[in-house]
Amino acid sequence: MKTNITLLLAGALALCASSCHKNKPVAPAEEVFGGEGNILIETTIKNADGVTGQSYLQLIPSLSGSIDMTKGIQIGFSSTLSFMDKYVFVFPEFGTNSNQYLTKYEHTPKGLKKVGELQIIPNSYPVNLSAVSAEKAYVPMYNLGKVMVINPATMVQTGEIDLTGYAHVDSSADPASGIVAGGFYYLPLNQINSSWMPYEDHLQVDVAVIDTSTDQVVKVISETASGLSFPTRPFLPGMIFTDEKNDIYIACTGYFGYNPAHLENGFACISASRKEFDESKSWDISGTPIEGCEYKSASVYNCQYLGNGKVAAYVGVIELMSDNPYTARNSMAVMIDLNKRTIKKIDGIPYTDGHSVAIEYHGGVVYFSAFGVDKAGVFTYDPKTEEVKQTLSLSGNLAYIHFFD
Amino acid sequence: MYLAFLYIYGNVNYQDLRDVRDLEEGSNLPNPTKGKRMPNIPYFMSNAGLELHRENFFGGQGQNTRLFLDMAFVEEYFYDFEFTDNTKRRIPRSTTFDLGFEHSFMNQRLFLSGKVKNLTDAAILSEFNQPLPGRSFAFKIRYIFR
Repeated sequence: MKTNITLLLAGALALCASSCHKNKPVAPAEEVFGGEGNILIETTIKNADGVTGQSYLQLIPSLSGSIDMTKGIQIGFSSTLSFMDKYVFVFPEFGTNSNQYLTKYEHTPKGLKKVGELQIIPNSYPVNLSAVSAEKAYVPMYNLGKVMVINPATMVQTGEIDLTGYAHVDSSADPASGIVAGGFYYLPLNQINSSWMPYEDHLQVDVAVIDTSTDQVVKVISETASGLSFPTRPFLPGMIFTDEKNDIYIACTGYFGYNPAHLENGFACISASRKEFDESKSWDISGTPIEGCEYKSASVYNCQYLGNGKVAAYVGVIELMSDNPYTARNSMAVMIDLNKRTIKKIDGIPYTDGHSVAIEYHGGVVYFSAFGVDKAGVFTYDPKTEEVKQTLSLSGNLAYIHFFD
Repeated sequence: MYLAFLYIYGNVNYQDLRDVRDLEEGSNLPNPTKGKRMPNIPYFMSNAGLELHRENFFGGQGQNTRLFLDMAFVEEYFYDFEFTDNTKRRIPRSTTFDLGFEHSFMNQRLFLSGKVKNLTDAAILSEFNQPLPGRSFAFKIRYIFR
């Protein structure tokens, strides 16, 4: 009898303990996705038209071997990315097909953790983020011609800078990829028409200079002498950079090589001390022979500054173009010397299409993504030895490479 | 004299459409989507319906009344070629019902008909992930000259 009572009491206690446990809120398991590793990549599987497809974000431990895409986080087609410390910001794809949110992920040892999002004005096309501090960043809205001022820590919009008054002809000056330097935000304005090309009567480089303490436009400066236009591509941060003298160089795309009457492309330079263009440093590279081939540059598609005047770049080549600009393998890897004003083809990296023009410089090695006819993936280039190796194979495109360490 | 007063129909459709291209377009690289189910096309769907007919149900001559209920089912299918285990961009499964009537006069020359589409007001999406109408009503008058 005593045993039975003891058992009943034990059962009741167990039931009580169990029900008490159930009443306690259970902390949700931390959800992380996208694989593991310190290198982040964005891959794209495009459709035959080149303007649709799907893209993925994922972490990998090294740029070698091949990629298991089952770990990826699907994002909008060719979504653009920006990075800040251990965070990656994912922008919506162009148009209204994807969610209209700017999404923030944190890089953790176990993967990517979604830690915030900010709803955007639909189809405003925010493309990149330039950090001023841990609590302040600028996000240009390409289609609206305005700049969101946000707190990237809380993902709350705190202000707005209106650049519509500086637009040529239409309502947006098409603010592209900017850089924060010396207390000012230098924001190039693409000034493009409805065909996504520069206006024939506005072949110049416009840059809004914004005071980061007041968020006011101090002035818009223009370089009108060289014929360069379309300063920076909005999703490629490497196309605006500072050199060792803190001068700001801006890679200019021009007409992407699709207007034979205007092939001017190259680099414009803003003097750090005067906050004005130094036209003596502008360089239209369209007339410069490229060592190692018969071609000349018709456009700068992407670049990355390595130091000492050296720039790794993809340039557009007219002779390699085809009927479809979105699938044409018309991008050629080159090394550019801003001081000597020379360009040299990098042999061993295949001609690539516009979906694989990522360039990163890490540990003294330049990493190029490329989508060739026979080879695709990541190719390394050692600037000292000029050796090229393919380190990673991929059947699709690779739009971004970022090293978190 | 009455027509057959009850009509029931149904069909089930399963199609296995997959990408069979060996190479990526314009290259000698393996096609990453080979063998994957084609996106934006349902692969499993079915329809069923029930109709009730009656001649001169409300009296008179040369009249016919028809009451019908149609059901359409589409299984969840793919918005994109599906690669990743993490994110599933899919068009959700949907089941919809349409309820309608039709009454004809003058030996099938004048028709009055009405329909409630998506009777249960189900949330449904198109093959391109665009929202489709919820419950809606339609009324039609038709006259056949002969």
